[in-house]
Amino acid sequence: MIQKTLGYFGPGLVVRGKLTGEGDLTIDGRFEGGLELTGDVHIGEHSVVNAPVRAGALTVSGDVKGDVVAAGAVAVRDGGRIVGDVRAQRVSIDDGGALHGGVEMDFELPDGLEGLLTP
Amino acid sequence: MNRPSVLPDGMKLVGDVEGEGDLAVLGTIEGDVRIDGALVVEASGVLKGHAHARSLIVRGVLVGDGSAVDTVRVEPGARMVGDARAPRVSIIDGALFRGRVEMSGDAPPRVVRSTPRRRSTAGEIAAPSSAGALTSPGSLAGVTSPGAHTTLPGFAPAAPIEPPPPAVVVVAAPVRRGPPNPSLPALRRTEARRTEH
Repeated sequence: MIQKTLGYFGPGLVVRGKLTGEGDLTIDGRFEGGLELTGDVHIGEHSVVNAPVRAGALTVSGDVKGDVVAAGAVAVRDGGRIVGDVRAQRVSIDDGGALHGGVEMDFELPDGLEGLLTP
Repeated sequence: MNRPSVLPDGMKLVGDVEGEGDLAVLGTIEGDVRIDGALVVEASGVLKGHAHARSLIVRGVLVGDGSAVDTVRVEPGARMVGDARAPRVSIIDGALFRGRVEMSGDAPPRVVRSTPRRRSTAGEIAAPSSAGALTSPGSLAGVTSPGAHTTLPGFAPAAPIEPPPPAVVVVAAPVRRGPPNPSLPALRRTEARRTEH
């Protein structure tokens, strides 16, 4: 497997626009616009992300304002905050993390209870 | 703490980047980058937009102006189309570059540009003021150049920048206007001949 260089936006960096592609990315600065990556995205402690996020997986220790869609897991760490709807295979919110919005995980209920999901 | 920012290969940003710290571009950016640190467009990197940084190194592709507080370095393998502006600009052998190079900021290049013009007018000062009065007094008098001509020889270093430019315009304009005028009637004649046949 080809090792990809890790993407990193430092604390002083302000990025505005639409970011697309593959590979992992850590944001410690400020991002506005749109994020669409196939790899893992880490939103660092003091970072502010003002954008809809689509990623393979997402870890949030900073501030995210925007809807989140992840193929894998979304984890809101202590001090992290998401304002927006989250749709992912797995979503976890650590003690001290915050999420304001809807959560949607794809799973099935035991037999007989499926009917309660969608009328 | 001073970990440089990286836009890796395989990522594309359509938008702008600004702020503090260093940045290495291995992917693609369509937009402007303005940072106070070092900016490196690596061999796989593509930057389509203007770049401004403390220092700028281009190893990949830069389509847009690149300016730096310290240095601009266009390295072998780089392809750059745009102006390079910095106190020190170096284009290393093997780099491909198309654009202007301006060194040591904004003010000095203007002085450099104006000195040859000043010399050219100084040489031609005698011609327009005397011969110009003979050939076309009306056109020359309207451009206020006679005043400049009289002051310049006496105070060449004291009154440097303001007077010469209009004098250049006066000298250059008739020469440029000269050729097209005779050529147009010639065209009309040939057209007229064609229509006659």
